[in-house]
Amino acid sequence: MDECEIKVSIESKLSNLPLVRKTIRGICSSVVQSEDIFQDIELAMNEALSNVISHAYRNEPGHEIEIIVKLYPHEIAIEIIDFGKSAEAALKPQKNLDPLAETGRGLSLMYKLMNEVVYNREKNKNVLVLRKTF
Amino acid sequence: MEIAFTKDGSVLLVKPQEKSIEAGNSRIFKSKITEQINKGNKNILVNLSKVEFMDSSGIGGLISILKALPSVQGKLAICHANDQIMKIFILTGLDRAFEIFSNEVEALNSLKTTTKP
Repeated sequence: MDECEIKVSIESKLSNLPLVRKTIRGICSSVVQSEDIFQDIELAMNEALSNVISHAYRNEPGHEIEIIVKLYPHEIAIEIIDFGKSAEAALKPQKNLDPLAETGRGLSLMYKLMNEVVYNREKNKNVLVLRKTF
Repeated sequence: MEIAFTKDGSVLLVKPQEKSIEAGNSRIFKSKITEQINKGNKNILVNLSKVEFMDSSGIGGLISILKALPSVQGKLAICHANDQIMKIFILTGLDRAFEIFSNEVEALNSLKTTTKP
């Protein structure tokens, strides 16, 4: 299969996440069939999107989040773009996290699940790229 | 968030009926179980057989329950966590903090033999 790119746009509501996971799983299934890889992508993307909704958009509905899925023969790249406040502070790895802290695990999970996680602040938007190779 | 609660001796069986415990419903999950702890239920078994997906917020909800129980001399056990849920427990290192069993019978036996009624 040649390189392919699909863009999905959602509103900043946590209740949208189950449907987004299903949609992205469907798109990714055209290049990969491994349940293990689906799970990694779904969880990393879910953590990224819930961070965007709760931090960049402070849990306010009505904002746009773009998800661009790029499919390659041996890689899936998921670009998550929002127009909220800068995520630089929220994306700093937390040091000395209490082992029984109730929050703060999203970023470290993304790093563990993906081959590459890259964040850039571009003018008025946050761009987070999650890459998974297989 | 629908949760089925049943009692088996001193153990409160908690069976979430939703397909996921995640950022969108983990607060309700946590508050419904906290309500049961406040009613005097201290030994809790969370059966995840209907849950297909959990994220770090879901794990956070379970941690808050785990932390609430020692003060009432209670215990928490988990059973029927699928591969995805086990993966998040392992990646966060929390598989060592929770008592996780493959099935309800084993989990119940453990809770009943290690806890006070």
